[in-house]
Amino acid sequence: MPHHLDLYIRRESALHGLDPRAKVLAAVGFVAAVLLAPTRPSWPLGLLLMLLICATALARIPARVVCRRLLSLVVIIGMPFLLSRFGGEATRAAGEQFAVRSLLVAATFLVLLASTRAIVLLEVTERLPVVSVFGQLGEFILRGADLLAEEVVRTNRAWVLRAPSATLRVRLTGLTQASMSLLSRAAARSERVGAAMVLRGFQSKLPTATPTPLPRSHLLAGLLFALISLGLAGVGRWR
Amino acid sequence: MALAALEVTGLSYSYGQDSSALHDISFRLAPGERVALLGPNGAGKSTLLWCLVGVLRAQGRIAVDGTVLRPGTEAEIRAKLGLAFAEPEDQLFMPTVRRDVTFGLLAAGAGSEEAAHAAEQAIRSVGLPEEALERAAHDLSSGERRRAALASILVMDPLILALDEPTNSLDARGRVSLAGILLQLPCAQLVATHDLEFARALCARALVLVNGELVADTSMTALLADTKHLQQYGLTAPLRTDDGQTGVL
Repeated sequence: MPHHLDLYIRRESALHGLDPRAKVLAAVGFVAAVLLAPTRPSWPLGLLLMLLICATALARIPARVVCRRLLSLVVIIGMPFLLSRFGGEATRAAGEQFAVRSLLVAATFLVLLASTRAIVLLEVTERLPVVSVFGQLGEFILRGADLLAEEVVRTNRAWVLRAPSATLRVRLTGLTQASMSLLSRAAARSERVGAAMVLRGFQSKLPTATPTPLPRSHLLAGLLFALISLGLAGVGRWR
Repeated sequence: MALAALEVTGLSYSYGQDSSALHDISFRLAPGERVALLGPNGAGKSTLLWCLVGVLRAQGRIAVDGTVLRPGTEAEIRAKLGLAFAEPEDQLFMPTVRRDVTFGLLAAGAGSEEAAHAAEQAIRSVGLPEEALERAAHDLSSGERRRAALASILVMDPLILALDEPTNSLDARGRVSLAGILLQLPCAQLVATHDLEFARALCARALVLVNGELVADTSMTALLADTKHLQQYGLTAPLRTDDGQTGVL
């Protein structure tokens, strides 16, 4: 899967070697801590940022890569932040909190995706017992997004080849104009994929092999990271 | 008469009220027999294959190893008749090749170990190394994808293998290699193609489909010797060169 969505960066690191299930556990704990951390004082959020930077360094992923990838999310995160600037003091403060926490959450997932192959991550989410339905739903959505992304890439290539000197603006206009045919092609392909699944006996649930047991040391590492994060948020709130 | 692996009688299908895609098709396929389904683009070859597995609901009778296709028997038919799509990308939909190859077995209730063992055998039978199982489909070359898709069908041990344009996007070596794999398979095969050379290497018998009608059911040798009919069926076309000489494409 999602070769168009795959953000994996190949490295020999402790984080890369950690079982993906432990990484998901650590990431979920960290995200919960970011969301639970108090607004004032702000040091718990600062410490959580430091923790994330440490994890990024441990994964030997250049910080500039994470920052560059964060840029693509700036529009989504930045829009509510900018709108909040027109509100009162409370709205402005909420806008700032939203921006800071969203960036931290997004950076967490970017580090997770950079240190874990998307195909492996998908298998993990699919197997989580508590969210099996959501995991499968998520996998279908991701798969659909991947098909769509692939179609965008193809359409863009076709457009570029037919108009090599086209500016970005012209290309974007072309992509917009082609969006309907793009969607219908993605839908047609989804139909063929659906047929392939049905022909091999698909009956509403993706079959999965029995997972290998999660090594205890990996589980402890993931749990420890999650607990430290939650601890920081908890202490900050208590103080 | 011995039980046919596949028996099609009076099969008709239309996409709309006015467009008949298949009209009154009848033929039999003996167990282990390899038959080429020939025809130009748009002749109805793919439509026929989709009808055989019950994805498209056609009029007429389709029986696979004695089981008649009707509501309720689709699963049984699909377990016996494996269809390899024209585009293997559509058939490799799981995160890894292993997940794809084991998909059918696990869906049928096989255990993890049994499925894993069968997947390794299947991937080897199509000439791919076992390491390919851990790769994502998009990491494979066109030829490897074709083989991986084939493995995902062969793992189910089908009685009949239907292949839709199997030589699409394969180079000469890939075609020879695929032909070698198919020749070793014991199952009956229905090979829909317009690649005459490939069909000749594999099949002794040919069905020719033109505009949704079965216009010939003959031996490959007889068909290939009949240049006039080959051109008439749209399987070859005369090519006039600059110096006025005529060849055939």
